[in-house]
Amino acid sequence: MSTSDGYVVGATKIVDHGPDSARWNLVIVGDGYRDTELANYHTHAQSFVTALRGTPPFNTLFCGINVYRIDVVSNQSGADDPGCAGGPAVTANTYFDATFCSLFAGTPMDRLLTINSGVALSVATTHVPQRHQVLCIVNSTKYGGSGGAVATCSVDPQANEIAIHEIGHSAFGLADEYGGNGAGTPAGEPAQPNVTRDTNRATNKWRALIAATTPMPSACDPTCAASTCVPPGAPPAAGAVGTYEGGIYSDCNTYRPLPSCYMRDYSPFCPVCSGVITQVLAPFQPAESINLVTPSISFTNVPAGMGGVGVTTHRAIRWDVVTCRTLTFMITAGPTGGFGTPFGIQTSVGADPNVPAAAARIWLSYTSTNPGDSANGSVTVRCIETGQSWVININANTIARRRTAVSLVLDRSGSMTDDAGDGINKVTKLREAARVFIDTMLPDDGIGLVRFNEAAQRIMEVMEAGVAPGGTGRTTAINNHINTAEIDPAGATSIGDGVVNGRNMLNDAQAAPTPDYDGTAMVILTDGMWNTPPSLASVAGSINAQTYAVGFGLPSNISVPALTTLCQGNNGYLLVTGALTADQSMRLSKYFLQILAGVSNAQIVADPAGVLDINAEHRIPFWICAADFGMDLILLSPYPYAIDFRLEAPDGTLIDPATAGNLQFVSTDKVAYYRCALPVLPGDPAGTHVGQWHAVLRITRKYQGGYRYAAATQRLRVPYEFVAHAYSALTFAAQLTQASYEIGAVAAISAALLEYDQPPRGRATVWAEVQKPDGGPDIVMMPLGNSGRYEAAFPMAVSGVYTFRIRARGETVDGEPFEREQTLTGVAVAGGDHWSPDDPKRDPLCELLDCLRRTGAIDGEFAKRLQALGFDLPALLKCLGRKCRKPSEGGRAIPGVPTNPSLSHYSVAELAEALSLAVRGKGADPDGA
Amino acid sequence: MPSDQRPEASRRTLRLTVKVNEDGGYELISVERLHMITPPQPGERPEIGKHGGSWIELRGARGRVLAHRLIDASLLHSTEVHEADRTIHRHFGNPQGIFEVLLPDVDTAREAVLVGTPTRRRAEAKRAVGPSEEIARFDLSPRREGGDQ
Repeated sequence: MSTSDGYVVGATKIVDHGPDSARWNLVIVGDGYRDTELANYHTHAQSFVTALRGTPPFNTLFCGINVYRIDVVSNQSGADDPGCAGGPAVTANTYFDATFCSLFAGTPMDRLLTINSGVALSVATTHVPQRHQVLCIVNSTKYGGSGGAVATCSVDPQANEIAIHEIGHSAFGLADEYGGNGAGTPAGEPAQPNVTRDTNRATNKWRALIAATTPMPSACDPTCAASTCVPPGAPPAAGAVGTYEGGIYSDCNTYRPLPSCYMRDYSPFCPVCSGVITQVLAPFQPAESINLVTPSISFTNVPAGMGGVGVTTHRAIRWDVVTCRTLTFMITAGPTGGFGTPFGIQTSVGADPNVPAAAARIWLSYTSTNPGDSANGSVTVRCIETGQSWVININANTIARRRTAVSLVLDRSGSMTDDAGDGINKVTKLREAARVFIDTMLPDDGIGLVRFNEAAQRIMEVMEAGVAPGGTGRTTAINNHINTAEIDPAGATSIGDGVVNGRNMLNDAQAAPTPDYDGTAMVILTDGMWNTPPSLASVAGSINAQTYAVGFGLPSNISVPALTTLCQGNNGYLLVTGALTADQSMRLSKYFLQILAGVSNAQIVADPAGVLDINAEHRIPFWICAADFGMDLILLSPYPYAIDFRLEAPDGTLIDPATAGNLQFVSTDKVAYYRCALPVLPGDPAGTHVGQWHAVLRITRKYQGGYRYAAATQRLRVPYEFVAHAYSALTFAAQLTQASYEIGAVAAISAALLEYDQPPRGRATVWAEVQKPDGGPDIVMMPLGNSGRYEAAFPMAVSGVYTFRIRARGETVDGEPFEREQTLTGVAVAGGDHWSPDDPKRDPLCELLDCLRRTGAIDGEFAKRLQALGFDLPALLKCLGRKCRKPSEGGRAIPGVPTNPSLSHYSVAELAEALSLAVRGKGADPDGA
Repeated sequence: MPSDQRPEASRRTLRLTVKVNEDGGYELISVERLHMITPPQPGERPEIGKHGGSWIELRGARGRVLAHRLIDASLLHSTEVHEADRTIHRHFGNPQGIFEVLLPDVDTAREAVLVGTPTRRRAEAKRAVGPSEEIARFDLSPRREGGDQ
């Protein structure tokens, strides 16, 4: 039972108010904690610190105090307890040999909990030489403690009080204020500052605190026959400092300042003791300082809002403060210039619990008006306690909403004829998604189109999208290009050339005198590996536009690492669809909508899916907060025109396409949406802005007849995807990175949440809902990290695409609920780390077959012999066709085999076709049909 | 608290470690010089023969008292027991062990004098004890110093 019963782990400064040379340094050690219990010790140490900080006058002196926690591991838990009060004897081998029932003058005392003080002092000195006080917390729930060279207490909830009382003795020289029979009471005037025999108000040691109206002595102990105390004629006022009989172990002729005090019965320290503590700690207090960090406030280039409704932005006047008291900052004049004070005109700040500095903020707001407008003003703020005053200048200006030129870079390689997974070929899906994207774009943004197979072409230069529906840019893009043969699939895959053309198109659009785009974005859709130069790696460095990509299909067929690098290096991300299923038929369009939100700087508020049947009404809730100034409420469906799509405002007001207000309703063949400025109804701002909204969906009457027939005969239902976008000052941006693409790789997910450009002042919870390739869902909480981002990691243990729906939910500074979300994808495949941006994925089997074909090792005679041997050649050919893409879709040069351009576009599938022809004659169907 | 209100305090501190022997004697076992603020000792300076209690005096040439520090009774001859019913009792006796005292590190300091109730009388403390007197004297010449932090 000694230092051989454990070891010292190390010291941690848990309260850091400055250098040890200038602060009062408290050292906490623990005893009776096993290594597995150190976390409990940390909690217990923090609990004591919290208790001390909450005990006046320490609450106003705490920034003069540092606290170190020394972690000490004991072999056994708890403390010795010989059971002197009748309980069972317990022995615990602990580092500092803590024990109850300590002997004093030969007598065991049950609650006297002591340790080996010499060892504790030595450990404390080793780690914190400049210590002033040492406290040992003993891991026992039995109430007890002791004073002396080291204050000691157990972890009983009230044992903290023992430690504070004993520190009152050892660190501040305070006497006990309880009485007794006089044993131990000094005969002369006690040296301690808080007890006395002197009741003369002219000479009493705390006379400065005694009011003239307070009788002296102030109260006598009536049970004390030997007392010379003369009772006052009238009792003193409650709480009046005086001389109250009883103290320093005697009930008679010794006096204390108040009836109660921490040094008597754990009541709050009396004014005399508080004054002593304050005097002792005064030299340790840091000098108070107030530093105005923001001598001026600028709301620079705040974009105009939507529908004439401005965008409100907040900025804080900030002071960095070092203080141990509460300081109040109050606006005494202004703000002039039309600026607001959204959270009031004053703020109070006290010392931070663990560091010396705190920040005081008074928030100002500016609501944008018309592009080109500016505003100037000032505000005067005064610190009530110090009298200091500051005049802060404010300026602001409104600019037009940021306009973005977007180039859609679309894959039209031959593989786009493949089934997307839901029975519909990829190019059809691409046309749908592109139309949704273009139909939903903001009117001032620009749209341009690039197509690529083995080479790329700019099929439509950037044009302003124009009004919706019917704007010139939109209709040109859709009617003259997307819906035409211009993107019919054929040929190989040169993503790099597509990227180069997309980049050049955007650069040209920005270089043009009008219209003036503030930013550029490129959206790449591809379903394959690049196999024709230039490589993605070689062009990535020249990209200067925000870049997003959608990998359409299975990750093993897509240049995932190269596209990820390209996008993440340009403030975007890659989404991989995987094989679409019937219930995810609109996934590609949803991904395009999410990318559109990123391009438009919109936030995703809600993103549910559903299926309407004939009698159903779906009410989809979503939250809108005061930071939101606009919203797009988008309905994707194969039959949007068959759905009665209305909105229900927080006050119950129903909004439909005919409602007049700050809204527009657009419906096309694949998408319908409301585009609203907030509040939606200017005459009802309270009811049509902040709160819970609902999208209300049901089958339209017009289509109910036909639908009933369809429902009765074919059991059809109408699927939909609902997406709510908000234009907002409450922003959420998620990111997914992975250092490896092998099975078992870890996806590092993180998200930033900002409210008026600042970390949220209200509560927020962030988590990720993970859809794994094997179908299993998972939920990962994302705690707030030291970086200020919400973070988590997720191992991708099986092969495939992982979909991370990253969500945030919380309350704004005004206590309004909010929700945000964003979907990202991660990929893990066997051999994933052998991907190279300059080296499309190998398929050794297909390469072998291709080589055999090219070199003439297999031919029609070979096929005939195979068939003669009993091979089901059609089935074999079908398998080969599925396994081996055309070189244009995944083939690569084979060392030692001539790269005759005329051969390079042949494929093993074509070989299969050739073999089939050899067997069946020209015109035969390779599938055997 | 504004800096101009802060009391003067030494930024150099002596930490004296004293051992209480079985025979009731006191032994200075280390003197550390520390670059840290010495907590001030509030209250009037106690005088031998007039005040009761325990303290240690830092003395310079010709016995001049340079500073003092009150010493808790727990360090010398008593212990305090905090009962489960939240009453507090002090018990007096003859403890052994060590205690520490922080004093300003003054260049002119020559010795430290422990003032209190003599050990031989503590066991008699069934009644109020008398005024304090010198009970130990420690030489602070450099050969006694045990560290310099």
